Amino acid sequence: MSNDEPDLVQRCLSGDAPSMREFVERFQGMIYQLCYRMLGHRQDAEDIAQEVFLRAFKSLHRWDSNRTLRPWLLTIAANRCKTFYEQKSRKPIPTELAYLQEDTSLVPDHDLAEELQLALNTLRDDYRTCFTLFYQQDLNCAEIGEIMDRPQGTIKTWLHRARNELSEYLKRRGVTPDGKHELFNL
Amino acid sequence: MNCLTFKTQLDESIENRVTIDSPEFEKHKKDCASCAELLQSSHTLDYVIDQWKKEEFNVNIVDRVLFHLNWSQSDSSSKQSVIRSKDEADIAFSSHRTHNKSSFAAISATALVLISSIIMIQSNRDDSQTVRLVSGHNRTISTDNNEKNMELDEIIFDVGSAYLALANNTADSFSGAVNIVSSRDKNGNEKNKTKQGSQYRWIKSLGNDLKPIQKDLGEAMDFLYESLPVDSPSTI
Repeated sequence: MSNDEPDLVQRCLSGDAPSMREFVERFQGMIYQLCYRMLGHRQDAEDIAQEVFLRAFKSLHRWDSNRTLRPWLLTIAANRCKTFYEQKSRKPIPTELAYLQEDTSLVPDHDLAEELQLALNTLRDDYRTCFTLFYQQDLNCAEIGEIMDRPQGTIKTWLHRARNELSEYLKRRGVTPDGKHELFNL
Repeated sequence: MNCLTFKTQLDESIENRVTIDSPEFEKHKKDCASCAELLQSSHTLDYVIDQWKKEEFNVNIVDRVLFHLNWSQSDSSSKQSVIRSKDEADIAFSSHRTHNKSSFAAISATALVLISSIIMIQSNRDDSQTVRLVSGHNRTISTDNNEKNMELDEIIFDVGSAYLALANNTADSFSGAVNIVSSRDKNGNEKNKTKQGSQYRWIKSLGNDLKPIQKDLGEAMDFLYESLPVDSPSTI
Protein backbone atom coordinates (compact mmCIF):
# COMPACT_ATOMS: atom_id res chain seq x y z
CA MET A 1 0.00 0.00 0.00
CA SER A 2 1.33 3.43 -0.89
CA ASN A 3 1.57 5.54 2.22
CA ASP A 4 0.49 8.64 0.41
CA GLU A 5 -2.86 7.23 -0.73
CA PRO A 6 -4.99 8.84 2.03
CA ASP A 7 -3.25 12.14 1.39
CA LEU A 8 -3.80 11.86 -2.34
CA VAL A 9 -7.46 11.07 -1.80
CA GLN A 10 -7.87 14.04 0.53
CA ARG A 11 -6.35 16.35 -2.04
CA CYS A 12 -8.64 14.94 -4.72
CA LEU A 13 -11.65 15.44 -2.47
CA SER A 14 -10.68 19.06 -1.97
CA GLY A 15 -10.84 19.49 -5.75
CA ASP A 16 -7.13 19.83 -6.41
CA ALA A 17 -6.75 19.27 -10.17
CA PRO A 18 -3.07 18.20 -10.19
CA SER A 19 -3.88 15.57 -7.57
CA MET A 20 -6.74 14.26 -9.65
CA ARG A 21 -4.40 14.04 -12.60
CA GLU A 22 -1.89 12.14 -10.47
CA PHE A 23 -4.64 9.80 -9.30
CA VAL A 24 -5.66 8.90 -12.84
CA GLU A 25 -2.09 8.62 -14.08
CA ARG A 26 -1.24 6.24 -11.27
CA PHE A 27 -4.07 3.78 -11.86
CA GLN A 28 -5.08 4.18 -15.49
CA GLY A 29 -2.82 1.39 -16.78
CA MET A 30 -4.14 -1.11 -14.27
CA ILE A 31 -7.77 -0.21 -14.87
CA TYR A 32 -7.44 -0.11 -18.64
CA GLN A 33 -5.73 -3.50 -18.75
CA LEU A 34 -8.47 -5.10 -16.71
CA CYS A 35 -11.16 -3.49 -18.85
CA TYR A 36 -9.49 -4.53 -22.08
CA ARG A 37 -9.00 -8.09 -20.91
CA MET A 38 -12.60 -8.24 -19.78
CA LEU A 39 -14.14 -6.63 -22.84
CA GLY A 40 -11.70 -7.53 -25.62
CA HIS A 41 -12.18 -4.17 -27.32
CA ARG A 42 -9.84 -1.22 -26.96
CA GLN A 43 -12.35 1.57 -27.49
CA ASP A 44 -14.87 0.01 -25.14
CA ALA A 45 -12.10 -0.49 -22.60
CA GLU A 46 -11.15 3.19 -22.77
CA ASP A 47 -14.76 4.25 -22.33
CA ILE A 48 -15.31 1.98 -19.37
CA ALA A 49 -11.98 2.93 -17.79
CA GLN A 50 -13.01 6.56 -18.04
CA GLU A 51 -16.34 5.73 -16.46
CA VAL A 52 -14.56 3.88 -13.66
CA PHE A 53 -12.55 6.95 -12.75
CA LEU A 54 -15.58 9.22 -12.89
CA ARG A 55 -17.42 6.88 -10.55
CA ALA A 56 -14.40 6.59 -8.32
CA PHE A 57 -14.13 10.36 -7.95
CA LYS A 58 -17.84 10.57 -7.30
CA SER A 59 -17.68 8.10 -4.42
CA LEU A 60 -14.16 8.82 -3.21
CA HIS A 61 -15.53 10.14 0.06
CA ARG A 62 -16.79 6.62 0.82
CA TRP A 63 -13.39 5.00 0.36
CA ASP A 64 -12.13 3.26 3.50
CA SER A 65 -8.62 4.57 4.16
CA ASN A 66 -7.75 1.31 5.92
CA ARG A 67 -7.90 -0.42 2.55
CA THR A 68 -5.66 0.18 -0.42
CA LEU A 69 -7.02 1.96 -3.44
CA ARG A 70 -6.12 -0.82 -5.84
CA PRO A 71 -8.74 -3.45 -4.86
CA TRP A 72 -11.32 -0.71 -4.40
CA LEU A 73 -10.77 0.54 -7.93
CA LEU A 74 -10.60 -2.98 -9.33
CA THR A 75 -13.96 -3.74 -7.73
CA ILE A 76 -15.53 -0.75 -9.46
CA ALA A 77 -13.88 -1.73 -12.74
CA ALA A 78 -14.97 -5.36 -12.53
CA ASN A 79 -18.55 -4.35 -11.81
CA ARG A 80 -18.62 -1.82 -14.64
CA CYS A 81 -17.21 -4.36 -17.08
CA LYS A 82 -19.75 -6.93 -15.99
CA THR A 83 -22.62 -4.51 -16.46
CA PHE A 84 -21.30 -3.43 -19.84
CA TYR A 85 -20.81 -7.00 -21.00
CA GLU A 86 -24.31 -7.98 -19.94
CA GLN A 87 -25.77 -5.08 -21.88
CA LYS A 88 -23.61 -5.87 -24.88
CA SER A 89 -24.45 -9.56 -24.88
CA ARG A 90 -28.13 -8.74 -25.26
CA LYS A 91 -27.39 -7.02 -28.56
CA PRO A 92 -26.89 -8.97 -31.82
CA ILE A 93 -23.29 -9.98 -32.50
CA PRO A 94 -21.78 -8.03 -35.40
CA THR A 95 -21.15 -10.17 -38.48
CA GLU A 96 -17.41 -9.64 -38.44
CA LEU A 97 -17.20 -11.01 -34.92
CA ALA A 98 -19.76 -13.78 -35.20
CA TYR A 99 -17.45 -16.12 -37.11
CA LEU A 100 -14.94 -15.98 -34.29
CA GLN A 101 -17.50 -17.34 -31.89
CA GLU A 102 -18.91 -20.04 -34.09
CA ASP A 103 -16.32 -21.31 -36.52
CA THR A 104 -13.80 -23.35 -34.59
CA SER A 105 -12.28 -24.93 -37.68
CA LEU A 106 -10.21 -21.88 -38.58
CA VAL A 107 -6.49 -22.21 -38.15
CA PRO A 108 -5.36 -19.17 -36.21
CA ASP A 109 -2.94 -16.88 -37.99
CA HIS A 110 -2.69 -14.33 -35.24
CA ASP A 111 -0.49 -14.78 -32.24
CA LEU A 112 -1.14 -16.74 -29.12
CA ALA A 113 -2.05 -13.73 -27.01
CA GLU A 114 -4.88 -12.83 -29.37
CA GLU A 115 -5.95 -16.45 -29.42
CA LEU A 116 -6.25 -16.47 -25.67
CA GLN A 117 -8.09 -13.15 -25.72
CA LEU A 118 -10.63 -14.67 -28.12
CA ALA A 119 -10.93 -17.67 -25.86
CA LEU A 120 -11.52 -15.40 -22.88
CA ASN A 121 -14.44 -13.79 -24.66
CA THR A 122 -16.21 -17.15 -24.72
CA LEU A 123 -16.06 -17.57 -20.94
CA ARG A 124 -18.90 -16.58 -18.69
CA ASP A 125 -18.44 -13.28 -16.89
CA ASP A 126 -17.48 -14.66 -13.49
CA TYR A 127 -14.84 -16.97 -14.89
CA ARG A 128 -13.37 -14.26 -17.08
CA THR A 129 -13.20 -11.75 -14.23
CA CYS A 130 -11.64 -14.30 -11.94
CA PHE A 131 -9.08 -15.40 -14.52
CA THR A 132 -8.14 -11.84 -15.47
CA LEU A 133 -7.70 -10.71 -11.88
CA PHE A 134 -5.58 -13.77 -11.13
CA TYR A 135 -3.28 -13.66 -14.13
CA GLN A 136 -3.38 -10.06 -15.31
CA GLN A 137 -3.46 -8.34 -11.94
CA ASP A 138 -1.55 -11.08 -10.09
CA LEU A 139 -4.02 -11.15 -7.23
CA ASN A 140 -4.43 -14.23 -5.08
CA CYS A 141 -7.70 -16.08 -4.58
CA ALA A 142 -8.45 -14.35 -1.27
CA GLU A 143 -8.07 -10.89 -2.81
CA ILE A 144 -10.19 -11.85 -5.78
CA GLY A 145 -12.83 -13.18 -3.41
CA GLU A 146 -12.90 -9.82 -1.69
CA ILE A 147 -13.29 -7.96 -4.96
CA MET A 148 -15.92 -10.28 -6.36
CA ASP A 149 -17.62 -10.72 -2.99
CA ARG A 150 -17.39 -14.50 -3.14
CA PRO A 151 -15.78 -17.15 -0.87
CA GLN A 152 -12.24 -18.14 -1.64
CA GLY A 153 -13.34 -21.69 -2.47
CA THR A 154 -15.69 -20.40 -5.14
CA ILE A 155 -12.90 -18.35 -6.67
CA LYS A 156 -10.65 -21.42 -6.82
CA THR A 157 -13.38 -23.41 -8.51
CA TRP A 158 -13.99 -20.66 -11.03
CA LEU A 159 -10.29 -20.32 -11.74
CA HIS A 160 -9.91 -24.01 -12.53
CA ARG A 161 -13.07 -24.11 -14.60
CA ALA A 162 -11.85 -21.09 -16.54
CA ARG A 163 -8.53 -22.79 -17.18
CA ASN A 164 -10.23 -26.01 -18.29
CA GLU A 165 -12.53 -24.19 -20.68
CA LEU A 166 -9.65 -22.18 -22.09
CA SER A 167 -7.61 -25.34 -22.61
CA GLU A 168 -10.51 -26.95 -24.44
CA TYR A 169 -10.97 -23.87 -26.59
CA LEU A 170 -7.30 -23.75 -27.49
CA LYS A 171 -7.39 -27.44 -28.39
CA ARG A 172 -10.32 -26.86 -30.71
CA ARG A 173 -8.44 -24.00 -32.31
CA GLY A 174 -5.41 -26.14 -32.94
CA VAL A 175 -3.28 -24.66 -30.19
CA THR A 176 -2.15 -27.94 -28.70
CA PRO A 177 1.15 -29.72 -28.27
CA ASP A 178 0.11 -31.97 -31.17
CA GLY A 179 -1.44 -29.18 -33.19
CA LYS A 180 -0.21 -26.79 -35.80
CA HIS A 181 1.64 -24.55 -33.40
CA GLU A 182 5.11 -25.98 -33.41
CA LEU A 183 5.91 -24.12 -30.24
CA PHE A 184 4.15 -26.82 -28.32
CA ASN A 185 5.78 -29.87 -29.75
CA LEU A 186 7.40 -30.37 -26.39
CA MET B 1 0.65 -41.33 -5.72
CA ASN B 2 -2.72 -41.81 -7.36
CA CYS B 3 -4.44 -39.69 -10.01
CA LEU B 4 -6.54 -37.78 -7.47
CA THR B 5 -3.48 -36.72 -5.49
CA PHE B 6 -1.72 -35.79 -8.70
CA LYS B 7 -4.60 -33.58 -9.76
CA THR B 8 -4.90 -32.01 -6.32
CA GLN B 9 -1.24 -31.11 -6.30
CA LEU B 10 -1.48 -29.72 -9.79
CA ASP B 11 -4.42 -27.52 -8.78
CA GLU B 12 -2.60 -26.27 -5.71
CA SER B 13 0.46 -25.44 -7.75
CA ILE B 14 -1.71 -23.35 -10.04
CA GLU B 15 -3.43 -21.54 -7.17
CA ASN B 16 -0.17 -20.84 -5.35
CA ARG B 17 1.90 -20.20 -8.45
CA VAL B 18 4.52 -22.77 -7.60
CA THR B 19 6.16 -25.53 -9.58
CA ILE B 20 6.06 -29.14 -8.47
CA ASP B 21 9.34 -30.95 -8.28
CA SER B 22 8.57 -33.94 -6.11
CA PRO B 23 9.87 -37.35 -7.33
CA GLU B 24 6.50 -38.97 -6.70
CA PHE B 25 4.81 -36.46 -8.95
CA GLU B 26 7.33 -37.06 -11.73
CA LYS B 27 6.97 -40.79 -11.35
CA HIS B 28 3.19 -40.69 -11.63
CA LYS B 29 3.47 -38.50 -14.70
CA LYS B 30 5.55 -41.17 -16.40
CA ASP B 31 3.25 -43.96 -15.33
CA CYS B 32 -0.13 -42.40 -16.10
CA ALA B 33 -0.80 -41.20 -19.63
CA SER B 34 -3.98 -39.28 -18.82
CA CYS B 35 -2.30 -37.35 -16.00
CA ALA B 36 0.65 -36.64 -18.27
CA GLU B 37 -1.73 -35.26 -20.86
CA LEU B 38 -3.44 -33.15 -18.22
CA LEU B 39 -0.11 -31.70 -17.16
CA GLN B 40 0.86 -31.06 -20.76
CA SER B 41 -2.37 -29.12 -21.36
CA SER B 42 -1.71 -27.11 -18.25
CA HIS B 43 1.80 -26.23 -19.44
CA THR B 44 0.44 -25.28 -22.82
CA LEU B 45 -2.06 -22.93 -21.25
CA ASP B 46 0.57 -21.44 -18.96
CA TYR B 47 2.78 -20.71 -21.95
CA VAL B 48 -0.07 -18.98 -23.78
CA ILE B 49 -0.93 -17.00 -20.64
CA ASP B 50 2.67 -15.80 -20.45
CA GLN B 51 2.44 -14.54 -24.04
CA TRP B 52 -0.87 -12.93 -23.23
CA LYS B 53 0.54 -11.17 -20.17
CA LYS B 54 3.46 -9.76 -22.15
CA GLU B 55 1.20 -7.59 -24.23
CA GLU B 56 1.76 -3.97 -23.33
CA PHE B 57 -0.74 -1.18 -23.51
CA ASN B 58 -0.08 2.49 -23.85
CA VAL B 59 -3.13 4.37 -22.81
CA ASN B 60 -3.65 7.91 -21.66
CA ILE B 61 -7.14 8.77 -20.57
CA VAL B 62 -6.12 11.43 -18.06
CA ASP B 63 -7.30 14.36 -20.15
CA ARG B 64 -10.54 12.60 -21.04
CA VAL B 65 -11.33 11.87 -17.42
CA LEU B 66 -10.47 15.37 -16.21
CA PHE B 67 -12.45 16.93 -19.04
CA HIS B 68 -15.56 14.91 -18.19
CA LEU B 69 -15.01 15.52 -14.52
CA ASN B 70 -14.92 19.29 -15.04
CA TRP B 71 -17.86 19.10 -17.38
CA SER B 72 -20.01 17.13 -14.97
CA GLN B 73 -19.09 19.46 -12.12
CA SER B 74 -19.90 22.57 -14.15
CA ASP B 75 -23.09 20.95 -15.40
CA SER B 76 -24.11 20.16 -11.85
CA SER B 77 -23.42 23.71 -10.69
CA SER B 78 -25.30 25.17 -13.66
CA LYS B 79 -28.30 23.01 -12.82
CA GLN B 80 -28.14 24.26 -9.29
CA SER B 81 -27.98 27.84 -10.47
CA VAL B 82 -30.95 27.37 -12.79
CA ILE B 83 -33.17 26.14 -10.01
CA ARG B 84 -32.32 28.57 -7.25
CA SER B 85 -35.44 28.64 -5.23
CA LYS B 86 -38.25 26.37 -4.21
CA ASP B 87 -40.78 28.47 -6.12
CA GLU B 88 -38.84 28.10 -9.30
CA ALA B 89 -38.42 24.37 -8.70
CA ASP B 90 -42.16 24.07 -8.24
CA ILE B 91 -42.74 25.89 -11.50
CA ALA B 92 -40.32 23.57 -13.30
CA PHE B 93 -42.03 20.52 -11.79
CA SER B 94 -45.42 21.90 -12.74
CA SER B 95 -44.33 22.42 -16.33
CA HIS B 96 -42.92 18.90 -16.38
CA ARG B 97 -46.26 17.47 -15.29
CA THR B 98 -48.04 19.64 -17.85
CA HIS B 99 -45.71 18.36 -20.50
CA ASN B 100 -46.49 14.76 -19.56
CA LYS B 101 -50.19 15.51 -19.65
CA SER B 102 -49.83 17.10 -23.06
CA SER B 103 -47.91 14.14 -24.40
CA PHE B 104 -50.64 11.81 -23.20
CA ALA B 105 -53.30 13.97 -24.84
CA ALA B 106 -51.40 14.03 -28.12
CA ILE B 107 -51.04 10.24 -28.12
CA SER B 108 -54.72 9.81 -27.32
CA ALA B 109 -55.71 12.18 -30.11
CA THR B 110 -53.59 10.25 -32.60
CA ALA B 111 -55.17 6.99 -31.47
CA LEU B 112 -58.65 8.42 -32.01
CA VAL B 113 -57.76 9.51 -35.51
CA LEU B 114 -56.58 6.00 -36.25
CA ILE B 115 -59.82 4.53 -34.89
CA SER B 116 -61.94 6.85 -36.98
CA SER B 117 -59.89 5.94 -40.06
CA ILE B 118 -60.44 2.26 -39.40
CA ILE B 119 -64.19 2.83 -39.05
CA MET B 120 -64.25 4.65 -42.35
CA ILE B 121 -62.29 1.97 -44.16
CA GLN B 122 -64.49 -0.75 -42.71
CA SER B 123 -67.66 1.01 -43.78
CA ASN B 124 -66.30 1.27 -47.33
CA ARG B 125 -65.59 -2.46 -47.35
CA ASP B 126 -69.01 -3.40 -46.00
CA ASP B 127 -70.93 -1.36 -48.48
CA SER B 128 -69.68 -1.41 -52.06
CA GLN B 129 -72.30 1.11 -53.17
CA THR B 130 -71.20 3.68 -50.67
CA VAL B 131 -68.23 5.91 -51.24
CA ARG B 132 -66.94 7.87 -48.30
CA LEU B 133 -64.04 10.20 -48.07
CA VAL B 134 -63.24 11.82 -44.77
CA SER B 135 -61.46 14.81 -46.09
CA GLY B 136 -62.81 14.79 -49.64
CA HIS B 137 -66.09 16.20 -50.91
CA ASN B 138 -67.59 13.27 -52.83
CA ARG B 139 -70.26 11.54 -50.95
CA THR B 140 -72.73 8.91 -52.14
CA ILE B 141 -75.20 7.28 -49.83
CA SER B 142 -77.24 4.34 -50.95
CA THR B 143 -80.91 4.16 -50.03
CA ASP B 144 -80.61 0.72 -48.43
CA ASN B 145 -77.85 1.75 -46.13
CA ASN B 146 -78.99 5.26 -45.42
CA GLU B 147 -79.91 4.54 -41.82
CA LYS B 148 -76.68 2.68 -41.18
CA ASN B 149 -74.68 5.48 -42.69
CA MET B 150 -76.42 8.03 -40.50
CA GLU B 151 -75.34 6.03 -37.48
CA LEU B 152 -71.82 5.92 -38.80
CA ASP B 153 -71.95 9.66 -39.29
CA GLU B 154 -72.84 10.11 -35.68
CA ILE B 155 -70.00 7.86 -34.55
CA ILE B 156 -67.53 9.65 -36.75
CA PHE B 157 -68.77 12.98 -35.55
CA ASP B 158 -68.40 11.92 -31.92
CA VAL B 159 -64.90 10.61 -32.52
CA GLY B 160 -63.98 13.71 -34.45
CA SER B 161 -65.36 15.98 -31.73
CA ALA B 162 -63.40 14.11 -29.11
CA TYR B 163 -60.31 14.46 -31.23
CA LEU B 164 -60.88 18.18 -31.63
CA ALA B 165 -61.35 18.60 -27.90
CA LEU B 166 -58.16 16.71 -27.19
CA ALA B 167 -56.23 18.58 -29.84
CA ASN B 168 -57.48 21.85 -28.42
CA ASN B 169 -56.55 20.74 -24.93
CA THR B 170 -53.14 19.65 -26.17
CA ALA B 171 -52.43 22.99 -27.79
CA ASP B 172 -53.57 24.82 -24.67
CA SER B 173 -51.44 22.58 -22.49
CA PHE B 174 -48.37 23.17 -24.60
CA SER B 175 -49.00 26.88 -24.52
CA GLY B 176 -49.59 26.69 -20.79
CA ALA B 177 -46.29 24.90 -20.24
CA VAL B 178 -44.49 27.51 -22.26
CA ASN B 179 -46.22 30.33 -20.45
CA ILE B 180 -45.49 28.89 -17.02
CA VAL B 181 -41.85 28.37 -17.72
CA SER B 182 -41.03 31.32 -19.87
CA SER B 183 -43.03 34.13 -18.37
CA ARG B 184 -42.12 33.99 -14.68
CA ASP B 185 -38.98 34.55 -12.75
CA LYS B 186 -38.03 33.05 -9.39
CA ASN B 187 -40.27 35.50 -7.56
CA GLY B 188 -43.24 34.64 -9.70
CA ASN B 189 -43.11 37.97 -11.52
CA GLU B 190 -43.77 38.22 -15.22
CA LYS B 191 -40.79 38.47 -17.55
CA ASN B 192 -40.37 38.29 -21.29
CA LYS B 193 -37.80 35.57 -21.95
CA THR B 194 -35.78 33.19 -19.82
CA LYS B 195 -33.28 30.40 -20.25
CA GLN B 196 -35.93 27.89 -19.27
CA GLY B 197 -38.27 29.33 -21.90
CA SER B 198 -35.73 28.63 -24.58
CA GLN B 199 -35.53 25.03 -23.43
CA TYR B 200 -39.25 24.65 -24.03
CA ARG B 201 -39.27 26.45 -27.37
CA TRP B 202 -39.92 23.18 -29.18
CA ILE B 203 -43.16 22.77 -27.23
CA LYS B 204 -44.34 26.18 -28.32
CA SER B 205 -43.43 25.33 -31.90
CA LEU B 206 -45.38 22.08 -31.67
CA GLY B 207 -48.39 23.93 -30.28
CA ASN B 208 -48.31 26.30 -33.23
CA ASP B 209 -48.05 23.40 -35.64
CA LEU B 210 -51.25 21.93 -34.23
CA LYS B 211 -53.30 25.03 -34.98
CA PRO B 212 -53.77 24.50 -38.76
CA ILE B 213 -54.55 20.81 -38.21
CA GLN B 214 -57.24 21.81 -35.78
CA LYS B 215 -58.77 24.11 -38.36
CA ASP B 216 -58.76 21.47 -41.12
CA LEU B 217 -60.31 18.87 -38.90
CA GLY B 218 -62.97 21.31 -37.80
CA GLU B 219 -63.97 21.88 -41.38
CA ALA B 220 -64.04 18.16 -42.06
CA MET B 221 -66.24 17.53 -39.04
CA ASP B 222 -68.63 20.30 -40.07
CA PHE B 223 -68.92 18.72 -43.47
CA LEU B 224 -69.69 15.33 -42.02
CA TYR B 225 -72.17 16.72 -39.57
CA GLU B 226 -74.16 18.53 -42.19
CA SER B 227 -74.02 15.30 -44.30
CA LEU B 228 -75.12 16.91 -47.52
CA PRO B 229 -74.91 14.54 -50.50
CA VAL B 230 -73.03 16.11 -53.36
CA ASP B 231 -73.64 13.38 -55.95
CA SER B 232 -76.71 13.11 -58.11
CA PRO B 233 -80.00 12.58 -56.24
CA SER B 234 -80.71 9.43 -58.26
CA THR B 235 -78.19 7.50 -56.23
CA ILE B 236 -79.91 8.27 -52.95
